[in-house]
Amino acid sequence: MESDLHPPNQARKDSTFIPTKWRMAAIVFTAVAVSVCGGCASGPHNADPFEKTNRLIYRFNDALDRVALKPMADVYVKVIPKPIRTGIGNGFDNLIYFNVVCNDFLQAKWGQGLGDFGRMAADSTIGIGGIFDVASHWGLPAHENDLGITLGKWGAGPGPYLVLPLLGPSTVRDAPGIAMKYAANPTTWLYLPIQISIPLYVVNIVDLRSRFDSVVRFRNAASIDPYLFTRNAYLQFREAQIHEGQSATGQSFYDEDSDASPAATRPASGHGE
Amino acid sequence: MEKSMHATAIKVVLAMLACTISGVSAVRAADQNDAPSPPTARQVMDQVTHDVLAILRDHNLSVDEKREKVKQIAYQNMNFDVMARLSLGRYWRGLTDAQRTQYQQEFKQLVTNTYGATTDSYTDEDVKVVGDRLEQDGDCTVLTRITGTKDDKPDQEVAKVDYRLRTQDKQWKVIDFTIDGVSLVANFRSQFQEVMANGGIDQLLKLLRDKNAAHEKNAANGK
Repeated sequence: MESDLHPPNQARKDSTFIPTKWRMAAIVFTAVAVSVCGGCASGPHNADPFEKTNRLIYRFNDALDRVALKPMADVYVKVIPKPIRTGIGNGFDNLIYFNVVCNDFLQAKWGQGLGDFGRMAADSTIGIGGIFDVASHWGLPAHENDLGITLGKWGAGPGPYLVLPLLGPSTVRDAPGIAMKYAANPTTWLYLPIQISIPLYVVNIVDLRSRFDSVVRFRNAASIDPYLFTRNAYLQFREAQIHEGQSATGQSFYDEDSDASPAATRPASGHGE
Repeated sequence: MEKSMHATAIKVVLAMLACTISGVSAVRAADQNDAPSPPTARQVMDQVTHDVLAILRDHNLSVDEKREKVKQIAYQNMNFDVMARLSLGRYWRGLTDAQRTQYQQEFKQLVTNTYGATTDSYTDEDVKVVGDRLEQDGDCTVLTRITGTKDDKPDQEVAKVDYRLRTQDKQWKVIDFTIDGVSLVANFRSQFQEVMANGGIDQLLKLLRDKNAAHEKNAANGK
């Protein structure tokens, strides 16, 4: 079936090898599927038209978290010393950093883009694959950037809120960024056999979960409905990232007799007491 | 679990420290009675930050003692009534006096439990007041940065926390926290309003009561 493409990988043409075209197909499929299913149901004023389905997936993710991810993350934190965990986290962060660089440039942030490129280059080489984050010590701090932010800056609204299996909160605008992040990750194109790529993926997830733990605890303390808490926090946070720190709550939000909806409008009129 | 989410997620919790870090001593305000004018919102937050960090860094205090002391500062410097009311939005008007009182009590307890959950995770972060902004309605927003060791690098910005303060009897009190762009009051409002729309005030009060009761049960079990 595949007598083509990459001679160096011919040797690994067995069941553990996922061919290039599958990878491409997966990326394209994610991007298309997500934008199509979003486009067909953008109702006015409702940020969450798929709430029923979303809640179902949220419950699934949450259950998976309780039975698998959280226990694994706890063990991980207990067994692996902090410096090693830091190195592992740095390494994974570095792997997805090309995505940040690309989006800096898509947003015409040339200076930041060059800086981030330098950061990635320094960490990948001198920092030995990103394990040692030397760039931060040299005045090249990490930034957060992705396609959802780019699209938002270009004027796209978030579209319906989505909860994705395993991946968690997203929106129609943000979901294509997942495909891009995957495409911009060099390990996607390294053709690692699944005996390596799957454990790597699991460690990545467990590492993320361990760094996430305090937030989950905060959510559990502050929410009477964790689904709603997560949705609102996600939407507010993404708006703030796009508007670079400016809160989306308009003036009239703080008027004790008014009822502006948060993260939706920035009313010009607003005078409280 | 998105990368951007997780990074901020970490920040959010550390930032909730700032939530714990919300208060200023009324004692301090009293000390300044001879001063010509009451402290500005920014001075209030400078003081709160200073006092709370001192408590968190005091190695002679147990976790429970720290929590209690931080709570006292928070109670003196937060306006829970306004916060509760803003968190309910338009539904506030439809409540009876009894319902309002019950709701305010449960709300205060919920917020208190929330920062209790974060006091323990303090790992020597620093908080700097970096600016303030007068709002159109007379409120003042005080901008702070939490810095600390992140991934083994010192002096990294962990979170941006904005405090919105409103005057009451000439004293500035906190009415909202915005952590990396996420307003706590806006978040509460989105939760509460959906509950109100579906189950009314009885359902909301029930959920708040259940939540607070569960927290107490956990605390009693030493969790």
